[in-house]
Amino acid sequence: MTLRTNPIRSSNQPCWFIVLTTLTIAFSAIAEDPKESDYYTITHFGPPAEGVTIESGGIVQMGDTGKIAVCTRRGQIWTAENAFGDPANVKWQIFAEYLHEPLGLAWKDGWLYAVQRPELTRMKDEDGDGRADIFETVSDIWGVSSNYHEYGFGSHFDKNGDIWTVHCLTGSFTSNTKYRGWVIKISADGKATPMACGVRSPGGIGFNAAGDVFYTDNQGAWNGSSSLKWVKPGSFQGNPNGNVWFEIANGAIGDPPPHPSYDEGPGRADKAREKIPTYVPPAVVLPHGKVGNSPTGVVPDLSDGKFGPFAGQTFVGEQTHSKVHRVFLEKVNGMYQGAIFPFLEGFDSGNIGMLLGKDGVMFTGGSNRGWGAKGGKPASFERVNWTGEVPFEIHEMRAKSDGFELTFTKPIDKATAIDASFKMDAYTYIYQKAYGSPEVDKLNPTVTVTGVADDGKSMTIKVEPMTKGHVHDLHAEGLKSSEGIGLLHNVAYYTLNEIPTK
Amino acid sequence: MDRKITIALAALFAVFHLAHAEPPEWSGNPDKEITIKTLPGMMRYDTPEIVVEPGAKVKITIENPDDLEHNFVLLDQDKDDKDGQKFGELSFQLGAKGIEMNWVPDSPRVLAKTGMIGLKASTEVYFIAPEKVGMYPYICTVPGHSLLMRGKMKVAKDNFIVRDVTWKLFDAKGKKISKLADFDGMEPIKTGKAKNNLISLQPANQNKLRNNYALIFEGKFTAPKTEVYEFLLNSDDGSRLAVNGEEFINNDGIHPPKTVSHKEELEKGEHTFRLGFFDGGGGAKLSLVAKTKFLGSIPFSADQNAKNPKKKTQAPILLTAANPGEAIVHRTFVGGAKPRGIGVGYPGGINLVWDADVLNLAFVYRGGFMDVGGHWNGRGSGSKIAGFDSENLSHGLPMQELESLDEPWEPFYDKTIKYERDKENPEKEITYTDRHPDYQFRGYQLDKKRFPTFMYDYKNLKVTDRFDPTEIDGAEALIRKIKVEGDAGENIWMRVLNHGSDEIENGWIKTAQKVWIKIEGVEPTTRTASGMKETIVPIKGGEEITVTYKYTKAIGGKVKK
Repeated sequence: MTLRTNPIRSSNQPCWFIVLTTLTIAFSAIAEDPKESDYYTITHFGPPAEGVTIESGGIVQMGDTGKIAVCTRRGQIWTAENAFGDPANVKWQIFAEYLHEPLGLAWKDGWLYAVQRPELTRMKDEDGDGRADIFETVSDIWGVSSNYHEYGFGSHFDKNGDIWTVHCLTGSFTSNTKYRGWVIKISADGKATPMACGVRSPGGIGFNAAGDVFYTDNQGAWNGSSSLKWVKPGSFQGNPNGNVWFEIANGAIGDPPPHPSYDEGPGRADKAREKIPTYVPPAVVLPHGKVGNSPTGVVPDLSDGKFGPFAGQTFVGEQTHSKVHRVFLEKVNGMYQGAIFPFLEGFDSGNIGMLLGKDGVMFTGGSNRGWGAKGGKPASFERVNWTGEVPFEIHEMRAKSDGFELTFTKPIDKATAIDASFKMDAYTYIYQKAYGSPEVDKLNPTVTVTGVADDGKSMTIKVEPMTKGHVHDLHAEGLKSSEGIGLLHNVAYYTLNEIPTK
Repeated sequence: MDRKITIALAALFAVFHLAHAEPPEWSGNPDKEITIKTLPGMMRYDTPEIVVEPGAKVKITIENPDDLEHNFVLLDQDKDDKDGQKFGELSFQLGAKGIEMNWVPDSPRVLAKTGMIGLKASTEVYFIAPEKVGMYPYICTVPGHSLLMRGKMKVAKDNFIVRDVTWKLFDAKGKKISKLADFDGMEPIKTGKAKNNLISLQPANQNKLRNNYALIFEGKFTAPKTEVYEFLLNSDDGSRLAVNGEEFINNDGIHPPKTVSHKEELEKGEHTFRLGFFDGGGGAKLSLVAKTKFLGSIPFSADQNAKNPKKKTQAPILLTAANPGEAIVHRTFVGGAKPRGIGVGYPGGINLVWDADVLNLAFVYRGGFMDVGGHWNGRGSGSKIAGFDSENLSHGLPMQELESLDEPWEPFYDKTIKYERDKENPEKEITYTDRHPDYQFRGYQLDKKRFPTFMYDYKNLKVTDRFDPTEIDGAEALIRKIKVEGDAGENIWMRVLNHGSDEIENGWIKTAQKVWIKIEGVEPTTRTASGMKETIVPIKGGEEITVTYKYTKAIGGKVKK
């Protein structure tokens, strides 16, 4: 849009110029490219008290008390009343201090559960002064060796009433104490069961909408890229360093998997699956550098639309880039896979803890301590609300035998649903002991539009070739909604572990 | 300038500067060799500033003992980005290309760079220093790292040059030493040239010799102009500095880190220096810095703490109870306990660390509670006690079944396991702390004053363990109550003192430590097993054992009445 202005009278504006300026603003509100903040707002909360650094490692809703609990890397647990309204009216109360770097909170039957470095603890305020006075050890099945790297993350309670914990290796290449590199399921009364091995350096653990368990693992040894991984019971997640603990696991997940090959040329996750039957490749690769560098918390959207159009999808935190990603998951041939979409950026610090309640309100927060984060602030606790406006986004990206089906949050302009609107790269990573991997085996599949639904809410594309084990990196820059605007995020990264037969 | 020419020049410049192997024309003789290390878990380089002459041939070695990959990128000056922070942020835009580019944005501002430096790896970079004097930032451009990982290269003429620094290492071989003169007449066990011409605590990497040793450094320096030089010498323990044969600083004796300074006008030209240092045990520090009005500070040592002795690399953060009269509980990694340490600071300045891996008191101490500066900074290395007079009285498993009183007490329940760490270590053996299968930690309860009562199970017994602070004869004391519920059966004992004494006065067991103890509620037995004198008490179940710990002297050493 252009607007004529009078070059002679451009200074010392007369009245009509002000009118014109107002018009400009009114017009540009429509014509300007939509921004994330038009649809999702980030509300910043100040520290709970002066001098407090709220390095949010875990966040949970305290049952039906209306309160939110936040645990910090410094070992405090704060509870917040009125956290859903104006941050100025939040009533903070210190609930517990100073625990051992808790990174996961859960709530059940009046007890607050926290995963500390050496144990899962539950707490209760019995005398009613707002501060916990009973601290019970629920499980300490795993070990710690004083190495800073030995973080432990915990989920909320799952549908069966269990907490899932995931335990970082000792440093990058070693597992020097019990169950470092494992996922453990713990019941509310402390029965602990090892569930999966092969973990390297997790950043969080949670569920998808179906209640299956997922954790994020960071790029490094045996992890070419950071990724979202499915904790299939009994699975090996790829890093062999923790497999030593099969010796004490009493067959909880069977026999140790064969050690991945060092010598048979550069490995690929897809090939490793053939040799290591229990190996589960990343469900969704979060292409390192492109979408982030350090994924963290995992939460499903169970709000049934209260958080916008993504009900049933999964959200993943990102520390280095201070973001939240959106993930679509589907099961093909018994294996989880799916796509990651950019969702929201501009958080204050490096997101770690995540909560997304049935009320459709997301809380996240974190720290940049030890690893920098784009947000720049040392610590944060923030809330995300849906504004009620529906962004134009790729809603789902579903694998077909010869391509993908895309669904949209709003009808597309069918005239833009043409081959030229799309571009695709495909690549994978080396599965190796060395730290990380570049993108390798690069391909440029052709994209052909093969069908558009009458309502404009979905379409199919044919992709040649479809490559098993590759990330299919879709760019849809040319696509427009029926209202004539482009996608709020026009990229999607689909990890094709399995190609469906239909 | 024509754009093509600019690009061509930039390319030429790049070829000339971005060498990862030493240019042959240097013939193995760089003008300046510098080693910069990353600090594990800290997201920092160990060196905030380096100094080079304009046009100098510089070799920098970057060592990366961290658990993350890093790089090193030296940048040209930019008045809008003096510390390189804006440049560092560009790496967020690189996307997946970043990996191929080693996270270094393509820019003529890059004067020198390394590739990605792997974990526990090192690399070198060679370049010619710019002719223009001033400050040049260096950063790690891996996304997010440059916020903390950065430093500055100062290009300056007429630098203060330290050279020909040699060291001699002396071993006291068990002889009790309290001053440098105690090493007189000894022969050095090793000699060598100092790396980077810098003074350091470990010039010979003498890992096995960390206590009771001395070092003498000798070398030369060139003063670029006649002016007043202030020397600051910080050490733990003693040190002495002589310049041109004249003693400038005497910082001798056993002491915590202490700085002594001396000012002297020195003539332009060459001078000699001699620095003696010894460590008699405990911590060790050595830092020598010179300062002048015109040159600023000149490091003689890798450790530059002497420059500002008050400012530690990691500022202490002291934890205190939320309210007066309350205790504070802090769970952390802390020296003197297994990894699952629980610190408790009581009102009145007495503290303890209870060990939830071992289910027992690890040690008591007095004074300040905990310094969490190290725990709350970087990736978190654990806490340090902020007090003193730490005494371990019974750290170890608390209970045992003894068939006879000669049977030794079980040591910590550490275990070893073998596993294939990697191809090079197919049978690597590791030792780890395990929790003894006879015990289970149950947690703790806090009372109104936030005093914890620890709870654990031993076999079929339920045990609670609680401490209350008090004062006895004007000094700090703790009253510990251990309650045992259940039926213990035969031959179960609890060890209350693991290096005891036969000497008892008014019920107080006079240990050789600063803390004496008294046992009530059960009849103690003193025994010697495996050469250790131990005080143990029989456990039948249903006991309430009271153990009182008292410091024999008030702080300051005097017994208050």
